[in-house]
Amino acid sequence: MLGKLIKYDLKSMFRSLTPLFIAFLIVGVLTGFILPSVNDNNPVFMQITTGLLILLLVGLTIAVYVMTMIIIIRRFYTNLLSDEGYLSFTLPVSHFAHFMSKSISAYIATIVSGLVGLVGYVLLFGVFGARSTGLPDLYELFEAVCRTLKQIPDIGVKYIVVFLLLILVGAFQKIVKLYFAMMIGNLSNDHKIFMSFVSWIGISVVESIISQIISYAIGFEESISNAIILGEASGPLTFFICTLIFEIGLSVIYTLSSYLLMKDKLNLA
Amino acid sequence: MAILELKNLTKRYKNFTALDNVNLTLEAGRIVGLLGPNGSGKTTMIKLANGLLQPTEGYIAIDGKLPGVETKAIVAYLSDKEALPNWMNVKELIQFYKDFFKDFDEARATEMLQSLNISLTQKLSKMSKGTKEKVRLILTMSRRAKVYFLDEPIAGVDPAARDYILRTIISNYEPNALVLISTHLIADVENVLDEAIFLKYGHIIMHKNVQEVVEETGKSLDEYFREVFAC
Repeated sequence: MLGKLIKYDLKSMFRSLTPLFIAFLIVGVLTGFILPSVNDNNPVFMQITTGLLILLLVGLTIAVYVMTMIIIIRRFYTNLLSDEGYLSFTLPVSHFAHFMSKSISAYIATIVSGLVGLVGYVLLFGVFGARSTGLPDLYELFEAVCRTLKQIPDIGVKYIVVFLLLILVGAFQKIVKLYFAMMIGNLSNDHKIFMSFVSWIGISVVESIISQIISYAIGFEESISNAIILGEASGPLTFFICTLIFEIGLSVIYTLSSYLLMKDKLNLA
Repeated sequence: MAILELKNLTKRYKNFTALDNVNLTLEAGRIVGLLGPNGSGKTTMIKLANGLLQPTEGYIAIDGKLPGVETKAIVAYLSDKEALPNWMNVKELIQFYKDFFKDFDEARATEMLQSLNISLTQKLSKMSKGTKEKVRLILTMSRRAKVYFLDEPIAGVDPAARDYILRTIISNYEPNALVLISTHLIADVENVLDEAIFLKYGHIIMHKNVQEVVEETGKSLDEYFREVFAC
């Protein structure tokens, strides 16, 4: 059943996101295509058009991320905490599956938005480069990338892996934290949205205090400073690994707390 | 065996007791009216049966089980809210019900929709309130469920639509199922009811066969209801 829930969550989210993604990618390609042709000899309208395209691209980049955030919040609220909740919570599906479906779908939407942003700018610069200097030799490009990767020392690879994991786990943690705040806000009878916002701020403050206490208790800052002074490359890495564990811990706490609130304290209007 | 059992069921909110130590047993194969004025506890009882609320004390059991994934698979629930996803069209809604409810009868749903000339490609957001109500009812009654909870199914629709809704309920529910209709519009439903439950301030003040009520009081159920709940 989890798969079916995810299917409908993704369908609902991408129904609104896809047109935005397509518009962003088209503007990215167009900008990359037009940009190399622009110089001082071009007519003014050409220069204005290019300026507008760049502005549009920046606007769409912001829109992609803001819309993704809004849609992630809206889907959770509409489908579970407003009138649709009367159908959702009477499907033969566990509360945990509902929560995981929303979290996984939101996670997928976040990753896809990130990738679309990346692809948009790669397309822009790819087309721009191809138009300016001719088509690149793909084999040479591939070789250059491989050469660069081989030059990275082992410790660097470890840093890259930990950073990637931090980004991936951090994104998930932020989503479940958002949903946890919404579940707390839903306990209020009159001001659910406002209370969700207040809860989110409250959780963030508590989270920050706890991380500071832990960091202080285990003497992190001191050990990292020492590692940097002594030139130990692995010092900061330990810090990042611990941050990763902290993020995983937070994700588990937010997920379980939200599940319990959903199971025992559901408060549909 | 009772298909629905409420044992010492109590639901308290901060300063308000919606249901107070309610005991009730209902058998399958009956159409039962859960009748009471607004705020009497009807919706709370149905929400508890659907697992949308948790009891403060006591329990509610459906087919011997507490509300959960298993009971939701055998309960068809028509809430008093517009709970269907507005962005879907009728065809997508049918697929949604097929995906989640094993007992959903697609042929039955399609036939009822055709009889009302509701197009499969029509989006819910483009429908009138009455048509939306009909679609919700058709989807609910197209399930071959063991229990049907219908919360205010005829409130807010015109008299012609009320007739259609009641006809649909009578001609489509599973004969061995329990149908619990919550309403305060007694006159419209009394002819279809086998039993009636009067709910007042969270207490069951009467649970009888409708025929029995009529014979004992010499009044219609609606007249008797007005007498009992007179302000």
